[in-house]
Amino acid sequence: MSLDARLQEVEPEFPVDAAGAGRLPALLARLKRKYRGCITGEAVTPAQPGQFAELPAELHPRLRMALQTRGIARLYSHQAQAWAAITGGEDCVIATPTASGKSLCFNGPVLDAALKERAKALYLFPTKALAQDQVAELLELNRAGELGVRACTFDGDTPSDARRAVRTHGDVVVTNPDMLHQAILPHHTKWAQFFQSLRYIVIDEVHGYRGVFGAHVANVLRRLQRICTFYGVRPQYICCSATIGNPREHAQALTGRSMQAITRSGAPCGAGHLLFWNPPLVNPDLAIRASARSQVSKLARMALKTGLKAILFAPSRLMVEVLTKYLKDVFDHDPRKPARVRAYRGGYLPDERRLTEKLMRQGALDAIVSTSALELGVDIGALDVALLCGYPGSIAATRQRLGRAGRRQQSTLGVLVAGSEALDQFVVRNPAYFLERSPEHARIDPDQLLILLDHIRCAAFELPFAQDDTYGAREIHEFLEYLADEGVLHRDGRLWHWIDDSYPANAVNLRSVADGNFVVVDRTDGRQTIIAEVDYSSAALNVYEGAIYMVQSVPWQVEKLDWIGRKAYVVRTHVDYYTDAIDYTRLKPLAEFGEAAAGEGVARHGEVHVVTRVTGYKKIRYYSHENIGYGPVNLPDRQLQTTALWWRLTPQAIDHAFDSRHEALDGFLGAAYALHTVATLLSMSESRDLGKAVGSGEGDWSARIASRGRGELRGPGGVALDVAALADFAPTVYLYDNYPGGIGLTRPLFDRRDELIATAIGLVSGCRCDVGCPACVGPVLGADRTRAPRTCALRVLQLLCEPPPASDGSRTITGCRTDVVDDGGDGKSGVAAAAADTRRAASTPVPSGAYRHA
Amino acid sequence: MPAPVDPLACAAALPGNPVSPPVASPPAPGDSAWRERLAHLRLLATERSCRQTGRSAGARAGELPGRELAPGLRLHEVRVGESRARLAGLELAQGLRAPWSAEVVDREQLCLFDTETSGLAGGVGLKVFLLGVLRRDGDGWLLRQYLLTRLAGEAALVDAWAEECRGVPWLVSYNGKRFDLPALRTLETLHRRGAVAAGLGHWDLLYPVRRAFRGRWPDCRLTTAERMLAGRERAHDLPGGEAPRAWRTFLAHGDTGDLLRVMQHNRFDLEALLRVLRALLAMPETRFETGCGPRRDAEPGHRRWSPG
Repeated sequence: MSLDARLQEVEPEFPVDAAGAGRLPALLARLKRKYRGCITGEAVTPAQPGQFAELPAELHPRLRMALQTRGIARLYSHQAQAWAAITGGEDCVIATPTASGKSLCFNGPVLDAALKERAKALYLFPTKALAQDQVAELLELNRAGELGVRACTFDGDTPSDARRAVRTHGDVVVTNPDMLHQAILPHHTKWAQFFQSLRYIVIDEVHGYRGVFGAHVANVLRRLQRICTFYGVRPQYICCSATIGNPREHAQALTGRSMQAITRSGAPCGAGHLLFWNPPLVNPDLAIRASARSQVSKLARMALKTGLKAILFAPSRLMVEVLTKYLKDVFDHDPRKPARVRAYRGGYLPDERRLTEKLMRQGALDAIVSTSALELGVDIGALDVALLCGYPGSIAATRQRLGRAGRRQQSTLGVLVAGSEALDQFVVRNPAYFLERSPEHARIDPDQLLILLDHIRCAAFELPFAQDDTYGAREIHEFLEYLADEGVLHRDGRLWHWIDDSYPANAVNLRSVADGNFVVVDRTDGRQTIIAEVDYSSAALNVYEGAIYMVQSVPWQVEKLDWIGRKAYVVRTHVDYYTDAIDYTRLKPLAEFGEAAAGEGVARHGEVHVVTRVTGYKKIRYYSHENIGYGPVNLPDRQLQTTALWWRLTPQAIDHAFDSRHEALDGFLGAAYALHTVATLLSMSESRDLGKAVGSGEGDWSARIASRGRGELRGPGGVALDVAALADFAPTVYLYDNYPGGIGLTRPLFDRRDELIATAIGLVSGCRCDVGCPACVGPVLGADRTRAPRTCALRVLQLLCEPPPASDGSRTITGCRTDVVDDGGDGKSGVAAAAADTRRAASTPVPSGAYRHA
Repeated sequence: MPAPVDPLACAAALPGNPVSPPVASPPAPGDSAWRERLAHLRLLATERSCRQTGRSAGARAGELPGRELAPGLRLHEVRVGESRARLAGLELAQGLRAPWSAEVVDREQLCLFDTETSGLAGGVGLKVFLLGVLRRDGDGWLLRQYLLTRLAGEAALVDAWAEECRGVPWLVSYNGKRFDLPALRTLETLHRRGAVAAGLGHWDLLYPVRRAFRGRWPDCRLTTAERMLAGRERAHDLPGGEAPRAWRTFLAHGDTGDLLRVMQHNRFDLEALLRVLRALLAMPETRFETGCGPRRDAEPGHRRWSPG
């Protein structure tokens, strides 16, 4: 929370915007009166008065003065609770809502210890922007009390002459996990002074460290712990989290420490109104609804005209630009006046983002349009209205976005506007689904074999391992022997030394983000100015030749794309349309490592090829959104070679079990959905870590869920196919490791395939929904009960589970037992599987983005 | 409407699933499979490395020149007498004044040093395995080479370096400020020793050479400087980049062949350093117009990095 905001709230003599107080109820009343048909649900969170506590008695006088100068005379109850826990030596996690003053929970004790004992602190923030915010806040406190505490960021932008000063003089060093992993830990001796006095490790936004990324970060923290032990310190952990289902367990899994959880906020908050909004039907015969975009744009216009400040969340970067344009057309048509609306998204240059944040904080803007980039705690000041264009996909993310609207004493409004996708429609038609469920749990498995191996490599580089050393409470001599066989470690007596000439942290990328951003170069009138960056993975979707690329809704056209040089050359243009890429993905097995009977079908583990191709783009006219043309795109395919497991049924089994191929297809898509849900749970990964697909075994068609939750087929080139017209119909469900080369997620899943199928059957059969919902086979909008996707999915899963009819009577298999049939006969398949797993671990510096281009 | 089921609650209630998901410790069932997979990984690694069954490093360390100073550390001393030094162009006047810095140093104070390491990438995992020091001795020069034959000798190597730094020598190196000294400093920290070289005078000849010849020579490497300033070409020298492999091969199999060539290379480098020093000292001040110091914009190991 911004300290300026606090200033207003604890000093009641500061004027409260009295006029503003009546605006929101007026807007709310108007919406309910005029758009009753759109509002499918409403929820009100009652206002809460603040609960306060005195500043701790033992507070250093200068810090007390600094806080008072900044208008902080008391603490909120959760801040006091955190303070007591921290000064009492406990590790803790603070999970209170956005803008409840979480940063004071750790800044207070950290500054106090810095003043009293010159104790040092390391802050980890997921992004550079958040780190800079935090340092700015610390510096303000520092100035207010002349504390003399040195707080500095340490990231890729820190000039190297400043780095030495940070290492030797920084009291609070604010960095990110990537920097800790690649620059600090492998050079820890340069930081010896810092580590020797390190007292606190503050990790903000811990809810973001989930799945594979979380597993990497947990291992970086284990390495940090080793280094701290070497320097004879045992720093305390202070974690902060957004609202998730399991903040305490998650923080414990991440840090390996037992945690005290502080979850009851003492900050006052105004009443929060939440509306579920389904756009009106514009063609009742075809059941076509108005777009979420048009509705959000209308709601934003109404809010701004009422004098309220709004934040809009759009599902994509493109949609951010389109929405910004629509609002700017209304509110910023006079170029002489300062802009009232700005866009904010990844890809903008840092200065552009800082400017927008600052303008928003100062109240100079009335609306900000953002992607998920603003879900995190970037300080943008107080807002009245949060408009969500589409369901963000999870309850936690939705709450996080809604929490962006928040003023101390006044009520706020959040509107969740559904898009046309089945999931959106499901949520908005069943508001109870959203309201009754707790936010998702964050899960990590830090002991994922290949991730563990990567980090043991890095840890061995940082300090020799002793023979009986443990790592993350696990004995690791087997790993050490493996690395010695590989030739990177050498054993001398009890110690295992790193002797390789490489720098292993460079070969391990925590986020698995491809390197090599594209820069967008404006060459209008002979200029050569960089106006934005596009990450590698989305370049093919955004900066193909002919694309309209927008920054703050100002359009440029891509003239030339230099794929090798990673540059997109654009010129300023004036057109009445924008462009949207058409892409399709298909999957093909390359090699099989293992095979096992699975009911009437077969389960396999092996290597697959996932190809994503952008085939062309549509030109879409503003406002009318009609398609006014197509253009071809000729870019290399994005190829991902990775490991997968898949299940297949014979055409005979399918014909026998289903009346129509459509039902079978729906069944496979539903089964894929359920298996994916269960697999992410079993492997403690995030849904983005594992891919799922339904296609033919040969890769000549792929299926996807179209509107209303029913399946449709696509052939090569993205052409729609008719399922009934196919000569051979043998659908296959794939679960694949969504990382280039694979990080070893699928092999353990193949080993647990019976459990996977059984759990998926339990999930689908035990669900209390009617025909299908996001909790089982995916959202389904109305269907005949007997042919419902849920019923079909259950049938597919049971076919993959039940043993084949015992024809010779010799096999009496009960339940889900299956026999492993190794295709190589003598265990070769297992080695091949391991070989696939090893590829990434063994081959030295493969840039993380090993997406290859044909 | 029917209330949908929480997938977590649902999955947890099923047989074979723990009732509450174990968060702090990973699920046990994976463990055996995990062992097996690691065994597979090891098998592959073993096949790949095609290990020879040579004698261990320790057994053949005795074949190396010099004597064992401590377990894992050998010292090899070579004296270059006055007459030979003159012939080889290694003689130097008594009092030395650097035209690039105006510092005056006595010849007896000089400590020319150079290390060979397990790599160039920097970071804590970089091992110093050979430290060569060239100092004035009577009427000639004495080369002392400290060679790590086992990693257990590291602490003794740190002590040897501390011993060399006693008596306040004046250090001379080529890129020592950015490479050799930080590597030795890392070693000191790992063995919990103080920074013995901090505060010592130091001529890092890379900087005056750059100041005087950047843009005029193809590069400013030591071998180039030696060729241009002393007119010497090296023959049969092991390329410096081969040194890490030579040492690793020695550790793994006890092969001393290339390691001996690394020691020779280290000696060539130190002699080259002396010749370059001699040539630079003879140059007019005007050659080095502005101050010389390390450029501060490129520390090794700190790549520019931007997440997300």
